Amino acid sequence: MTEQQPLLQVENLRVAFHSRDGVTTAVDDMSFTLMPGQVLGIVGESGSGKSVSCYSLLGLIPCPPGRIERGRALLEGRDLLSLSEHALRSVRGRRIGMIFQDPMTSLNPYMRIGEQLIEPLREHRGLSRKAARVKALAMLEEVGIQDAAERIDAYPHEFSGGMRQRVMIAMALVNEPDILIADEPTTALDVTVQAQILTLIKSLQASYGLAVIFITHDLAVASQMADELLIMEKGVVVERGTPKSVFAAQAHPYTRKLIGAIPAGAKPVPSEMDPTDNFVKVNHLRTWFYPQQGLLSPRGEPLKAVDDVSLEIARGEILGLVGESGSGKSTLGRSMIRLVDSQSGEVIIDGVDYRALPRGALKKQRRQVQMIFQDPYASLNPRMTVFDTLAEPLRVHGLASRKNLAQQVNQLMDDVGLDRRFVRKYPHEFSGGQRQRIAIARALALQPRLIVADEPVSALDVTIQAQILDLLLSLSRKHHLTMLFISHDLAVVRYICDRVAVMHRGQLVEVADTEALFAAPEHPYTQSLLASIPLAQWG
Amino acid sequence: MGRYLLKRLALAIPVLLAVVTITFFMVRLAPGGPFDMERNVPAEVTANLNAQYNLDAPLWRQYVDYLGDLARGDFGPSFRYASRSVNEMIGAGFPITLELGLYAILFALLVGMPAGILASLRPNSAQDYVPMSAAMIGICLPSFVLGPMLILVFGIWLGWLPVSGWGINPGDKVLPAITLGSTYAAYIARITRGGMLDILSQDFIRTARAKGLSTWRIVRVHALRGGVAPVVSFLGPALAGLLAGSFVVETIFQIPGLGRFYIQAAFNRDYTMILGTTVFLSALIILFNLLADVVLVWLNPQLRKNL
Amino acid sequence: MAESAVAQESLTPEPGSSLMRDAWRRLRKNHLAMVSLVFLLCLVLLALLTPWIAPYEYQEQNLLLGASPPSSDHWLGTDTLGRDQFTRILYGSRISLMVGFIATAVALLIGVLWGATAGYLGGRVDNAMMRFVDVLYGLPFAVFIILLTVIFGSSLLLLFLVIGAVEWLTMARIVRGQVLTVRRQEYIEAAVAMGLSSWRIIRRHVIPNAVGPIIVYTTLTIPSVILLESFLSFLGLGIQPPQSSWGSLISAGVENMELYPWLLIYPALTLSVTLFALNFLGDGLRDALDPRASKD
Repeated sequence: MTEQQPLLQVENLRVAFHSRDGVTTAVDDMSFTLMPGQVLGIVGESGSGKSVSCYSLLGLIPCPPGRIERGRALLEGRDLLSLSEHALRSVRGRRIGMIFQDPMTSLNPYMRIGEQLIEPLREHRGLSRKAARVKALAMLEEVGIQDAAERIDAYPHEFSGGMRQRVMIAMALVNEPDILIADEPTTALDVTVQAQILTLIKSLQASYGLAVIFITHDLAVASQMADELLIMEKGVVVERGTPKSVFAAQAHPYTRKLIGAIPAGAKPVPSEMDPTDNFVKVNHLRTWFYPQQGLLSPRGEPLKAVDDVSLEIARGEILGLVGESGSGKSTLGRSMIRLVDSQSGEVIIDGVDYRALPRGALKKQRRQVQMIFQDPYASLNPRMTVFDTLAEPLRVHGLASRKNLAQQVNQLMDDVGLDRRFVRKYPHEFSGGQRQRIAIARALALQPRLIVADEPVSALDVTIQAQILDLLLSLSRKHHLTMLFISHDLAVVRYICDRVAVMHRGQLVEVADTEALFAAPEHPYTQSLLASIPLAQWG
Repeated sequence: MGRYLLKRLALAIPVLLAVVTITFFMVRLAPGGPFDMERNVPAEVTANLNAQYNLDAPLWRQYVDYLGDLARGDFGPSFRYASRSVNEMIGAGFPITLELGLYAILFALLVGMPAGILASLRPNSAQDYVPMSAAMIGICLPSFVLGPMLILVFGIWLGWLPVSGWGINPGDKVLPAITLGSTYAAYIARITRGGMLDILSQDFIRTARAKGLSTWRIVRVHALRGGVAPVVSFLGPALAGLLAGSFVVETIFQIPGLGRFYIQAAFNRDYTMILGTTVFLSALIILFNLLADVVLVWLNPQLRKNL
Repeated sequence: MAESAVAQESLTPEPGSSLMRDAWRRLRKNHLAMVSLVFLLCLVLLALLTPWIAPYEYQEQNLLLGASPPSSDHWLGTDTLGRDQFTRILYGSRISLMVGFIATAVALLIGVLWGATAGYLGGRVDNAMMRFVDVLYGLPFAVFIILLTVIFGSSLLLLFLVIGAVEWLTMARIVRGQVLTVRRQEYIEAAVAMGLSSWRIIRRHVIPNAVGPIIVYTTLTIPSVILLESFLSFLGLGIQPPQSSWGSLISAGVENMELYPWLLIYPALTLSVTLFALNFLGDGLRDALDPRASKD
């Protein structure tokens, strides 16, 4: 690029949020330039200010409490930050298009997608309804919507998640803007769909000569997409450069932490296990759900969430269960420990047939098997202190006398690396990672033999995710735990599991040793899954 | 559309039947006959009256006959006014009550919805506090307080508007409609604000803003359809309350509507009138709730395929 | 807060701050709600002590005096029979508040039982129970209440029962919604996985988390009950003379409002200010208990 004019030039941007509790600076002294046709990746964890910075360019942050305190953002000589709301409207959707994280909620569910697509055309170019529709149709075809002529009159809920994101992209680009701001555009999507959407954005970027600001928490995705990276931490850009130079330099400790946190490669140390001793045996398990209908209506078609699944987990093993959303992996985990009722089959854990247990015996048996949940915000009772949360299982199962209860709770706090002083605090006073530690401590309280962990790290930021994964690994070794580790994230599974089972539409399609599976996947579905994993490309 | 309506109608019929049955037996089993007040009436006269009103038949027979009459749309004669039938009284009173209710709802919607929308656009600003405080006043001033106050101020002290009657003097419909409608205007303002705030915080509104649409267009095209849904679902049950309110308003402003007849019938223990009016009003309200539900389903494309 | 914390020896635990304590702190900051609370407490106290502090007897007539405007003898004036208006409003408060509290308690009892059962059992039972509520919702209850008072005559007991029977519907809906939401939370699943008994789960996990909106709605039910009673008494179908409630006092005031406006204005003012206070307190509680307003 020889002496090209920058398209967008942001200088010393500072955004703050004013609330009763004080002022929080969300973005501080941020500067960058965006050249025509350039892809700029902004990478950061939650609360790093990566989204706020771009939203404030278009006046999309709520003011109050938000306030742009300083800076300029020059788009062809005009300062976006000082434009009136009216003037900004001619920039939004015309010069700068945007797509968002969740295509489910970002499209208006009350309007046909056609109406939503022609809206920016009519608003900005005054096209006739008919002309706008022709243009919208062409755009839909370009983003890969099949039978666009018919689908244009459908409502958003009639599309799948990936298709909705395509519609969003069509809507953002229909006015041929110069800049596309993509805010975590693939975070809510399954990994195979993510790969397709990323390819689509790349090809559209090339064919339109678009400049793209790509906001993501995923360093691997950003390194694939971007010409230049900005790494943000707590509102400040801590490192910038081409992916290659960023990776080579790793000048800032946070960058090092971020790169180090990406689970890469194989499990560090294999579990101590006896492959001949099947601690868990699942035989032909079937869990079907019948849609709830009216009082007298007949049963509808069942949803076959778990359909004839058999598997074994050896004592001390960590078995990974991977699959995309709706594959039935969570239901399988919950069915195994009877949190969900299954229709037929056998689940034998440590020689006990769980499905055949009467209720009373089941309650006693439950201490052998504990669960860790995905959402650390929902899995702790907000009205109980950490102490009560951890003490409750001990009391109920009579595992602690009154005297050594405090002692045991303290021990659990130490185990998961939480400060003992926090035992009187309530869940809302902790961060996400700390809450997940409390949830893990609660699961460990009963000294279980088997742990079912359902996406235990997917709600966490990547640096926290790495800490929790290492905690789980060390605890499983220390307490000789057997674990079923459910996840959609293949990199995470590779890092923590000894063997992997792949689930697709309620059935297991492949079970193999982790490294064997990653080296030579047999089933076509596993192959496509592995091919879709975003790998960091450092140039 | 037809199937859903038919299904809902089929469900409404047993409900209505239950209402008729319960009301009928409650009225019939109530202590004291309808002609107890006339003292020193010869036994033959009572017997005659009983025969005339079909009260000498066994209870189940009376019930079956009443159902048969109802099916033909005949609510029977009034116990109090021998010369008039319940149908005539409903026919005379209902159009007036309906007109009053219509004006009141119109007033409530025209005042409440814009106020609620305005408040939702700038929450926690003066634009929010002023209409919402007014709404709070509206809720805490029930019609039987507001009505007399309005009469006192605009009718008596200022003398701007007539204080009673319906369609006799010009402007005599203004105060009753406002009295009846103000509480609902207040509720509608609050509900509209809540519904709009809900919708306006959705992601798709951010999308619409990112498209460069004007605030007015975002409100009108994107937010309103979802935002008014709570108002529609409020309107169904609100009608029941509106009828109750019309009893008070018609009493205060001396309007010869159905509500006033009903209260008079209650004081006179005119059982057939009470029975007939209850059944009539119940049917009306069941119908209205059904309508509100249909509109609600129609407003939501995800549910519309059920129609 | 630091993500990882070093285990330290024998340090005293830091006190936590529960959601309820947070809520109370937020409520205390809401001046309007606090003023309302104080006003309501005073009103309840006055109503309780009425027989001892009322300056006159409520049925004590003074036909010679007749209707008189407020004076030093009769702070809020007298009615056409010369009865002291202040005394009658105080006695009316007893009736109105009693109806408000007892009928709300009835509504709360039925609503919580019905809604919690439906929400906890779920499935077809829930479907049937809530359909029943939907059906009742669509009936003209004001009409039925009038019908009942006509048939059984108006008594306080009937008022409690009938009004309670009307107001429980919304309560049942709210309780069911709350129970359903809480039941879907993962901490309930975690409790089941720990082998806790159903009763313990309900007691320790479901109820404490479902109670916020129920408190709020209970506070907002009281004014609507008071309003309903006043409405009936205004129509002459509720409290019968010589007893008085706010509704019957307003009704009497309306008859004479041209000549003796104070007979309308003071009871109307009392009613409206009480309704204000209850609504403000309810709104304040809603804001204070709203989890979205808490940290995170």
